[in-house]
Amino acid sequence: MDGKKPQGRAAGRIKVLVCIKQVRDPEAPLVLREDGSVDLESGASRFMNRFDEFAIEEALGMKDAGLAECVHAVTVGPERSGQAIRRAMEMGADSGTRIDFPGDFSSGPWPVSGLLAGFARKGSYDLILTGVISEDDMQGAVGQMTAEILGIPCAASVVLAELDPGKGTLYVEREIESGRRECLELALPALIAVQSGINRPRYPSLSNVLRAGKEKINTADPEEFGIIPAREILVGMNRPGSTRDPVFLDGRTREKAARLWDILHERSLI
Amino acid sequence: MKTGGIIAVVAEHEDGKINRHTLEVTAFALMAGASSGMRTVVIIPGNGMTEAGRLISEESGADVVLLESPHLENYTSEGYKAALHEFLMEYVSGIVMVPHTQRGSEYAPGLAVRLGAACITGVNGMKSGNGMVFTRQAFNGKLEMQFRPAADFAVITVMPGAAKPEFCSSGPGSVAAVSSDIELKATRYLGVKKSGAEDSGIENADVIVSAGRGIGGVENIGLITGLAGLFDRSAVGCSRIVCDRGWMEYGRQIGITGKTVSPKLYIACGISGAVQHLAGMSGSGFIVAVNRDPEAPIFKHSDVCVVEDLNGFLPEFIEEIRKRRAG
Repeated sequence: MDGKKPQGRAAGRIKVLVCIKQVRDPEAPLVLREDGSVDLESGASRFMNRFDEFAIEEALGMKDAGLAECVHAVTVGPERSGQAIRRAMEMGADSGTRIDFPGDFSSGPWPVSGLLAGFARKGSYDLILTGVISEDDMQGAVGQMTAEILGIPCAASVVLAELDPGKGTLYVEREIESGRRECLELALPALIAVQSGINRPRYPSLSNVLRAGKEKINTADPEEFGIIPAREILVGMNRPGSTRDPVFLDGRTREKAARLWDILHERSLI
Repeated sequence: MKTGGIIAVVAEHEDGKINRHTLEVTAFALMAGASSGMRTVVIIPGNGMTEAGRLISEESGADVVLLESPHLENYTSEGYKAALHEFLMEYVSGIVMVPHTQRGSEYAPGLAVRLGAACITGVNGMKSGNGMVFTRQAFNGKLEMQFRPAADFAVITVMPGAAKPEFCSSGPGSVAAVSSDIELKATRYLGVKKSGAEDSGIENADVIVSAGRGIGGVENIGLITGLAGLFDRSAVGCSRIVCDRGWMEYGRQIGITGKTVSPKLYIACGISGAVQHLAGMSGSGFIVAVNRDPEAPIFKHSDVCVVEDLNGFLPEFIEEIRKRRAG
C-alpha cells in the first residue's frame, strides 16, 4: 500500500481505465508441433476476451450515469490486438492504447502486469477494471498483480460495483462459492476484476462504430514503462491426458442412442 | 537472520472449519516437501482457529502456524496479503500453495507481487527432479503447460483434485501461534450475503443432465429437462456460460464458481470441459459426454463419448428410452 488516504471527488471527475485482451478463440483446434511448440497464430479467429466486455460495459455504465468523466481502454499485445481496442471504442470507450509488446501466453503474468501498471500510473486513474480471467490462458492473475504493483486495493470476481465519487469509495459485491457474495468497500483508487454476468455488454451503436473508425489507436512503447521480466519459465507443453478410459460410440445417430441405452442399462444407471 | 526454505499451505476456512480443498493442497504440499526436503507448514490466517489447527496437525502430520489478528477474522484480500507477506519475509525462499478458490485466486497473485515471486495459477500437478515444475491447463483444457518458478518464492494456486487428502503421518505436527499486527487501510469488510437462489437439488441428485454453450439457446433447454425427467432422483445443471446468458439460474451452475457434485451418472451436453467446470463434476460415478466437437476436452474425462449435435442426438436418445421402457 502507498498509504494514500481516500480522496473525495466530484461526481463525473472519475477517470476509468479498462484493461482488455485480444484472445484466440479457445474453442478453436490447437496444433501441437512435433518439437513440442504450439501453433497459436494460424487457424483461429480472435476477439476481445468476453470477460473484458463486461469490464468495458461496467465502465461505460458509470459514464452513462454521470459518475465517470472518461473511459480509456488499454491492451498489451502485437499489432493485431489493436482490433480489440477498436471494439472497445466502438462500444463507447473514449480512447484506446495498445502497448506494443508480444504479451505472449508463455511469458506469464509479470511483464503484462508491469506494463499495465506503468500505463495506469501515468494516467492517474481512479478506477481500473479488468475481466476476471482471459479465456485463452485462464490465469486470472494480471488484474490483481497490476493492482499490487500500483499499491492499490483490488477485488476479483466482482458481480456488483457502486461508485461513490464524493466519498472516494467503491462498494463491491464479489461472488464466492455456492452463490454467496462477499461485500466490501474499497478506497479509491482501486482495481476490480469483474465476473461475467455483472451486466449485459452492449453492442456497438452505428454512431460509435463510425466515430471509432475515424479515431486513431494510440501505440505506446513498452520501454516507456519498464519491462518486468517473467518469473515463470515455460519448460514444456503437451495435450492433457485422459483421466478415464473413454469409449467413443460408432454408427448413425440412432445406433449411438441405442448403444448408450445398453451401456447405461448394463450398469443399472437407467 | 532469515530462516531457509519453506513450503507453506494457506488454509481456507469457513465457520471455524478448514475445508476439504485445503486438505488436498496439504497432501500436495507434503508430496512436494518429501521430494524437495523442504519443511511443510500449514498457515491458518484467522482469529481463534486453535481447534481447527490442532485437527489438521493431527490428520496431516504437518506443522501448523496460526497467523492471528482481529483483522483476519474475516477474509479480505488486503488482510491476507499483508499478514502472509509479513510472515513469509522471515524466510529466504518458499513455495506458497493456495487453494484455487474464489478467495485464493483473488489474493494469491497480489501476494506473489509482494514477495517478488513466480505466480502460477490453476496448478493441477507437479514434477520434481531438476527443481520443481508445476503443470496447469489453458485454452479450455486443450493444452497443458509446465512452468518452473524462476524466483526465490513461488505462489501457486492449486486446483481441487490435485491430490487425494490422504496422509501417512507418524504423529501430529506442532501448532504455533504468531500474532500479526496488520491494519486494513483501504478495505472495509461488510459481510457475506447468502444466496437467494432456490435449492436446485443438484447436490443430492443421482443423475445430472448438464447443459453447456453447445446447447445453442434457451429454446433448447427443454431437451435437457426432458432427458432429466426420464430419470429418478435427477436434476438439471449447467456450465457458467449458460447462466451468464440467462438460460438457467445460477443455482444450477456446476464448477469452480458454482457447485461441486458427484452423482452416479453425469450427462454433459454441449459442455467443452474447461478445467473450471471439470473441477465441479470430475468426481461423478459415470460420465457421458455429448458434443459435436470430437476434440472437446470433456471427452478425455468421460466414460462414454458421443460425437453428435445435441439437437439431433437428444431427441433420438429420449425416444430410445421411451421405446425400450414401453417394450
